[in-house]
Amino acid sequence: MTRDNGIIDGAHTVDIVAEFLAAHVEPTQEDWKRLIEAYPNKAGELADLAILHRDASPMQEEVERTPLEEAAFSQTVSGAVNLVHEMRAASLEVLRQKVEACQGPQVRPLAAAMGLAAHPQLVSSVLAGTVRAPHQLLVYLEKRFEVVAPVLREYFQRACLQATAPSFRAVNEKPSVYREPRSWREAVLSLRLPDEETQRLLSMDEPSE
Amino acid sequence: MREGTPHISRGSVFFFPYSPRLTEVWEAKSGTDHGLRKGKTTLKRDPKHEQALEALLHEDVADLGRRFAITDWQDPGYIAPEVMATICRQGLQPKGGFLDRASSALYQRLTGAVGGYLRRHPQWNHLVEGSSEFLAEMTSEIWTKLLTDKRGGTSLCEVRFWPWLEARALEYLRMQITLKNTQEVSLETLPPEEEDGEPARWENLIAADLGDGPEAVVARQRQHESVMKRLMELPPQERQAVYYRLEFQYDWPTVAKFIGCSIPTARSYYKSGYQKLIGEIE
Repeated sequence: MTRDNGIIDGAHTVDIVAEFLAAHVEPTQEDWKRLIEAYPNKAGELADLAILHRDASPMQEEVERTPLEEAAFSQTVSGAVNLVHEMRAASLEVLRQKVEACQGPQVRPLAAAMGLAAHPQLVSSVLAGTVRAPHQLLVYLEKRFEVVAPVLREYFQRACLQATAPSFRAVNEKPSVYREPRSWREAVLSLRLPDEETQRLLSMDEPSE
Repeated sequence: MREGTPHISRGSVFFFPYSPRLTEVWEAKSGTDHGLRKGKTTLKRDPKHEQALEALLHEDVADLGRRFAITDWQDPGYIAPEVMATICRQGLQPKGGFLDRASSALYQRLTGAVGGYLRRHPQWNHLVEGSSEFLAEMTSEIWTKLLTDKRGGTSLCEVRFWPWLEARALEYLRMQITLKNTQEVSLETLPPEEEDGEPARWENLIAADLGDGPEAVVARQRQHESVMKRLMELPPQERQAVYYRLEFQYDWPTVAKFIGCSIPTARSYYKSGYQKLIGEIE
């Protein structure tokens, strides 16, 4: 949805009205008139909504509920909660597909986009949930995958718990399986990089200015 | 000022958490235009809501049940519906039971708000007719929209919940009325055209001879509700013609433009619709 010269192109009438009501707590008929004139191709629908809204007091939180409302709630609340869980499962599946599409050989372009071209293994570990994502990476991944940070954190935590234990032979340290993700700091320090690069990577855990 | 959104006030700079540039444009134009903003923008959640959400994710689930149930926005434990909408849309489940409590509580608040809205507006009683089925269907429909609106992005319900809900409720009512009153208008049955003179006004539809006492106020209010109900029962073109002439005092070319017909046809729609409204009063 883009706005050009004040007109919301391609927006649904409901969205237009919702934003209008957000801007006008008690719109006058003059307000409605200007809205209709701004969207002549939606004049009919907007006029109907203006008529319905006439003399209406704003929607608000209701402290007390009538038996009718309690009955309506009881009839449908199970379905409503189930729908939330169905949507959640679908969203996590979409997120899983997006993350998997960025793993393996595809991690390099993602690492480069995040300023970690030299350390794709760090990005791989973040996506696998074995290393906690630093703040700045989390912000980038939020936008990239179109989910909020709490969902990402929850997904990575789940990925860490579900990860299979790798079979390997450690060279410089004892082999271990991480029950919880390692901190970003620990992961960066374990790379034993030059000081300047280490500081740059560690600073990714600070909010950007 | 709407309940549940104490930081909003008419004309406030913080009215709408859009980008600073848009807020400036809004301020400059407040009260002088239709309130629409210019330039590209994306919806952003209120930073206070984001902070509240982060804090909630670390709270004890047992206490959350109590907090989700608080409906008094002045209570310090009150959780804004915008925050709960984000939880439900994103499916946040930091601990077992968290999402169930949030969904159930928000759904209950939504049902109460919609029920209260219908209750306070008797002009819609003919639709609701005291039926929990109607309210249940309406609430379910709006709930589905809340979860599916702009998937992958931010919905207005996460930014300004009450206006979003009100717009959805009005749209649902409009659709129900449209379904109930679908009828074709035959131009052959319309009275002759040529409506000259000044357009009538809404006041003319309500009897002026009821006097001024409290009974007269009630009688006028009932007549007004009756006119509004009958207006919504008119065929869409007649309804719009009457509304544009009586409410906005538009000239005939403008009425015809908005309806999408010729001027003589617009006059015919108006005359037919107006006569039906008059018939409701007599």
